[in-house]
Amino acid sequence: MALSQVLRGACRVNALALNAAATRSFSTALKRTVAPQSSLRNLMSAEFKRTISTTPVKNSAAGGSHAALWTVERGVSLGLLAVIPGAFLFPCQALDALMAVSIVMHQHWGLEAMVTDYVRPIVFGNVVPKAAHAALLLFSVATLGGLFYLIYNDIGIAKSVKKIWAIKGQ
Amino acid sequence: MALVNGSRAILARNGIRALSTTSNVNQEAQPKPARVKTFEVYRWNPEDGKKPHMQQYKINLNECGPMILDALIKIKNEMDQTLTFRRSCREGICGSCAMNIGGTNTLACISKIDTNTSKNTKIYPLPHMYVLRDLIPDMNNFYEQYRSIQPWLQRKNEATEQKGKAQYLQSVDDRTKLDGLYECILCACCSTSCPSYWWNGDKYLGPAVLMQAYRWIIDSRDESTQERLDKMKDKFSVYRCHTIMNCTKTCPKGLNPGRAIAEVKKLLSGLATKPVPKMETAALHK
Repeated sequence: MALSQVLRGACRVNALALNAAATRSFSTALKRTVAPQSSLRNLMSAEFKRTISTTPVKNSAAGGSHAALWTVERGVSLGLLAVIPGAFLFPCQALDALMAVSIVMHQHWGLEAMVTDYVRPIVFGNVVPKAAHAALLLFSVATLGGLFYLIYNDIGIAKSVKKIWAIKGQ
Repeated sequence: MALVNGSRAILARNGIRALSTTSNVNQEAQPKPARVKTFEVYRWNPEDGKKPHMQQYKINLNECGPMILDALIKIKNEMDQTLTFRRSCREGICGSCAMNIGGTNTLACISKIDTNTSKNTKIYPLPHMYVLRDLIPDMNNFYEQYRSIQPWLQRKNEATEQKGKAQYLQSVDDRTKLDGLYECILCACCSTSCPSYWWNGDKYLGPAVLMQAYRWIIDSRDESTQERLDKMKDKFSVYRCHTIMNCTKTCPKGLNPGRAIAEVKKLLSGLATKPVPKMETAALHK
């Protein structure tokens, strides 16, 4: 059993035309076939390792369901088509707040998709992607906070935009 | 219209035959001016330790077939036997010769050589794949992903439906839903043109595999629809698709993987549901 395993492993190594070192270890392995199976297994795992695979290990996809979030994302995108004109036609704090929340959600999901796509563990390791997602969360929270400040302590989003457009050149 | 096309095809065929029989006579009388086209081909040999480089080959188009694959075979036969590429059917049905030609992923066998000899034609392997040598990419991940969607018909009560005993029934309408899906030859042109697949090819399934997943999801005879969908509902398998539509643009078979992925998303979100089969699928098994 152990011998056949060694032979099979060795044949594969030979068939793959690995370097001479592997072939040498093949001959030493043959001499040592009387050794207990456990040490043989160690020997095999150490020296009969395939080293030519160019295929990356396939990582299993993340768990959980993304379907509900996707549906909400589409819903918010669709809703923005009504919320933005509404907030500008009837400027008030409630519609401003609705616009602020939906715009921030919309841009957060858009940026999150970019972070997920580009700042990925396969390139940046395990820490940087998590930090990037945290930074994005912070950015979105700050954006929402700023917009709410504008709404409740100033003239509001719609009126601010209108004011910018109302500036006339000298 | 069909008649016109048919007669045109016959004319063209006769024309070619006439050309081949008279070409010898013509060439002896007055040799055609050589049309020398330069091909730049990506070369990389894992064994010589050098970096990848572009190698130029000059071919007289008068002595070469009309397709890119003809040029590659001519190079390999007559100029450089070390050039390595996959090819098999030479008629666009096997998908072996998928490569990036002039910036577009396509099949070498069904893409014509640009006869403008002032411009070089650049040929690369499929983008963002691990290259084994020259124009040969490592397709293992792609095939593994295809395996993961279980591309075969699955029935629930196989106890009463003995395999091979009788046919499964499918209405004409239900069969029509598979058109535009089953024709895929898995050449990977679409998947390797997709930026999402470039960045997250380890977890995102890619357009080709997703279209095949949809082909089995929407098949009226298949009963594992929910299991198939459940396996793809995570953040990566399907949802890395941002409808960039490079897949549909590049498909050498003229298929539309982008639409298939959108249908999968609709089914996953519950905005659409798989229609009930119009015929009783296992009627002949009773």
